[in-house]
Amino acid sequence: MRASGSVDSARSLGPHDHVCWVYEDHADFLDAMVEFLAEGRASDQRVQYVARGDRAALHRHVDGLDGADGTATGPVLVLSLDDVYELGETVGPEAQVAAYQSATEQALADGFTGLRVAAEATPLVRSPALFRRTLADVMAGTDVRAGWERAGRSEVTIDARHLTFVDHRGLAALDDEAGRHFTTIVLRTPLSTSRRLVELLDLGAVRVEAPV
Amino acid sequence: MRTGAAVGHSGYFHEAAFFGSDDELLDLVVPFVTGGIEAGEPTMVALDDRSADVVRTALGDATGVTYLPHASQYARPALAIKRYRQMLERHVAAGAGQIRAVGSVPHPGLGAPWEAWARYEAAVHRALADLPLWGMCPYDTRTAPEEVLADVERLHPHLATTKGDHVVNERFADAQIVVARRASSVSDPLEALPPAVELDDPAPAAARRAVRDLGRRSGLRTETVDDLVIAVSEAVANALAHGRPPVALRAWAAPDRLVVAVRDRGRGPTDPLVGLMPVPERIRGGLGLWIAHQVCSDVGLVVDDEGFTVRLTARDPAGAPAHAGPAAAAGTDDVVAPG
Repeated sequence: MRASGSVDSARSLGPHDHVCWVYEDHADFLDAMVEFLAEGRASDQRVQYVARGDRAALHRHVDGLDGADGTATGPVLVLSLDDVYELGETVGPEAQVAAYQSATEQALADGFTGLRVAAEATPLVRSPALFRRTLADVMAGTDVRAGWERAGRSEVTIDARHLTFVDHRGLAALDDEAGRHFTTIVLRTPLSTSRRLVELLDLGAVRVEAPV
Repeated sequence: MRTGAAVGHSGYFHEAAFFGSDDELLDLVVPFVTGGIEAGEPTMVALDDRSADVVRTALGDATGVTYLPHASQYARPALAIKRYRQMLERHVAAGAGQIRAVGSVPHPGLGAPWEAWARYEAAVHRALADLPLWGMCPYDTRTAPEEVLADVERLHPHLATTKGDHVVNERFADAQIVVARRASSVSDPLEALPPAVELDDPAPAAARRAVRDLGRRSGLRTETVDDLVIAVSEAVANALAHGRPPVALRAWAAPDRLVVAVRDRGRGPTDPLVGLMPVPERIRGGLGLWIAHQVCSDVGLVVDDEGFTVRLTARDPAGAPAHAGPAAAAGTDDVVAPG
């Protein structure tokens, strides 16, 4: 995924938005993640980077960000999934909601304008079953749900310009999630097959758009 | 409320009729349509162009009749079922007590292979069973081959005669399932040739790639190839999830079509009508084959000593501008060479 593309789409997002990136190359993810979090810092948000791996290595990924001090209480936080998840396990949505709720409140209490999180979901989604659970978990994050409820956000955008295929199960899972949150998921992909499947299955809560 | 021959009937009143002249066609269709108009019932005519002209001329400017374009209503079996179901549900929701539809089911006399439409006749009976439809399927004995007429007699629980009678068809029974199973097993001549692609135990992604590549080398439109890719992905995923290994994929390309056969060693789904029936819960099993039936021009489900084979055929829709692919440019009937 090209960093510029993801930044374009991230810039159009408000404080309660949730965006998923689909990428094949890890370097692309890092570029996109850093730019995304840098934007958050520019708006005086606390930012958090969540990924798998050694915490020191993760800190190096974000050490160029404004305010990165390597501490657990500063403007730039790092969370290693290795510390949180046992391999093959996911954390339930309620626990995630609670965790992000308190992290957001803490950020506000510490004088930041909000919390911006970039989380690498890949390690959690190596299997289709895990993917579905994780998708549900991800979509249930506090920032998203609270945002939808409070600000009446009507859409969540998934930047999937490099997606090579998504089958009916994946699309139906997105539709279910969107329906559960009374929102619409916009899948930005050039894949004509996704559009075709959404149309065939009458998925009212998913819209496929060409990438901008 | 039910009217006409369907008085007292609940659900789909599925009736075949045979005619051998334009007058006989009118004897069947005109009372059927005018009865619907008089009863204030939604009344649909989806006859082939020639028959529709005859009926239209006879009925004049009668209001209350909807003429459905035959080519799109009967573009493929699964689509026809889906469209009928959607239209009927709308009418029921609007308060209709009965809906009438008279349609020419395609067969070789109308330029379509019969196998797929024999399965349709068997499936539509079940797929629309709960809806208050009086459906008449008139067959032209001048153009429909003998084997079609023989099947039609076994596929309809009711028969209409040109004299105005409506009778219970004693020959209708579970024979419809026999017909559906046989109809599904007819092979494509391409299958006798060396395949252009052969994969053993492919992952869905590898299967999609191979079919997309073969599609690019064929002369078919991108949309047609993409649709086939969706169907192949579903068939391979099904074979891996529900079939017995090993799974074999073979694909052939001719200038007018791509054929992909996905075989596993299992016995396949027990229901020969699977994929044609509406899927009530989209996450449940059977959706993959339903999607395949929606997007492919033909789907064969073959059970034999080798196991279970899903044969998927992709053709450009009639009248679609040809894609300037290599095979189209060659303008021959040669198959794309194995490679």
